[in-house]
Amino acid sequence: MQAGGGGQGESRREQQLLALGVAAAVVGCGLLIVLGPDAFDDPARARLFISWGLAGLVAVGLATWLAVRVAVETEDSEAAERIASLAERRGLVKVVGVRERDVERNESLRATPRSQQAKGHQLAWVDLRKAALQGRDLANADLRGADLRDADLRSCSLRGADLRGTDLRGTDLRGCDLTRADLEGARHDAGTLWPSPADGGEPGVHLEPQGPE
Amino acid sequence: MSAAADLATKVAGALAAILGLAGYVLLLGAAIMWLRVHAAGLPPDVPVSLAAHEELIVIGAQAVGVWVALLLVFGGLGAWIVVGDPAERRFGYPEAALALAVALSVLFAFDLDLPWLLLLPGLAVAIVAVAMFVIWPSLEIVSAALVPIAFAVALGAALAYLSPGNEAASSAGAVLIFGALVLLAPALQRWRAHQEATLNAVARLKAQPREEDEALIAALEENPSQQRPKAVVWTERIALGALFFVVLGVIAVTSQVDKQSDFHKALVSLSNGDCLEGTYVARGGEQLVIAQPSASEGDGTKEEERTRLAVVPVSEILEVQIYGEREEGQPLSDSAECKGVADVLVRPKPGDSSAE
Repeated sequence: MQAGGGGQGESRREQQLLALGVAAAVVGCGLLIVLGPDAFDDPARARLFISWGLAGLVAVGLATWLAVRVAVETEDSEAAERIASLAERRGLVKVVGVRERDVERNESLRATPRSQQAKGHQLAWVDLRKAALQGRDLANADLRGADLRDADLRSCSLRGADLRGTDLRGTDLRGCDLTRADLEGARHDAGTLWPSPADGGEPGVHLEPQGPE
Repeated sequence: MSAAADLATKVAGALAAILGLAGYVLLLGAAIMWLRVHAAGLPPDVPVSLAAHEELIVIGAQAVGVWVALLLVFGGLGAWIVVGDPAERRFGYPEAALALAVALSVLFAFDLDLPWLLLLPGLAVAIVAVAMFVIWPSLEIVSAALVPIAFAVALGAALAYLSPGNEAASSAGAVLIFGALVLLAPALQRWRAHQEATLNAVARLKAQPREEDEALIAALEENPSQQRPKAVVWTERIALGALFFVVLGVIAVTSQVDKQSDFHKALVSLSNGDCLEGTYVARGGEQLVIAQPSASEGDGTKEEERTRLAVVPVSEILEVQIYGEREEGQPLSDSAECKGVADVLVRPKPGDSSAE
């Protein structure tokens, strides 16, 4: 998952912890502003004290958030590895409720990602800004982290494509087949033109059980 | 022939770059001298116009050298982040903001001279370090989180102990450079990953050419940034380069100007046997400039009114001693009693005291 990308894929738990950290920082800053000037006779030192407190509280908040994020992701990753291993034995590729972006760190799965199994294009992290690819067959393509801003993908087949973490801002997806495409963590905006349900696909994260094609 | 011409072009380019850099450093030296003399309440145009180029280059190089070294160190950190796989060496904006906040908090704690204040940034570092070592997601993730924090702590401590000249300007400049680099690193890392992945994808597709992939290859090879006119691209590059040198120059100059530590004391022994004591300002090919700077903040006292420069012809000088800590110089005074002062090393020849 790309660093700093969006945040739409963050879990509710992480968001709550982040809000908690921000709230703690705000309370701490309030205390500093109220108590700081009385702590020092020199106004310049008082300002320095408040600045120290603000920076320190922000640091503690961010450190807490990072620590929790790593803990949650590692826990998910370990669970995902166990579930994915079970799923593979049963002939399933995708499993409900698993944060699959963490599975990518599993080397055994990485060696045989889903898109390779289905012979799709290997296009992870490519730059396809403003690309004109109307009607192309990108079924099962590995497009993780790809930059697809302002690309013209009308009527493309993205069936089963791995679109986790892609940048879809301004992308024209009208008429695309997004059936079973994985859009977790993908960035999009008002300029993203989604296919209508009648086109055979719907925007959003698709995490239903899926048999081998 | 073409190889020789190519070599000549490269040599000429290198010479032009060296001359340009020397001119830039000289300009910084002149700016520093101008601001120092102006801050001391003295007319700046006289010493700046008389000062030797070598002296201005040394002043400028001293100012810019430490910042170039700092840029190289932080540039190394930035390069290490940028060349990493974004999925493995994960350095996003939260990590960058954490490093910046730790640097500021450490710096302010040292500035307040209260060691217990280091507990707060220490707590932040401890939270990340303990979590990383206990969970240990991967070496790359742990390194990407902890290495920039280590740099931040080192920066804060180094600024507190080593900051020369104008401490506030030095600290602001160093934190600005550090902040700019760590905040740029995530975007640069993603950009590099996109470029590398695109090249690899094109190579893969071309290795097994299929007719239906031609449009995809063309789209991958069509870099949007290459679609802009070259004039626009070069104008942007020149503007960015100029902005870099301007910002670096402003930081270097302001960090060197501090009214309380700009000048050394000077003792000038003249060929007629007299001496001048004062503040050393500059030396030229044929003149030496010493001064009595303003000791006050412009309150119109009698002392301030006596601020003045003295330009002494080099031909009349036997010896110049420059000494003392960098402080606000020394009042300008002449003394006819130098002959008996042990500090004077060079004595006038007997019968050479024309003033006597």
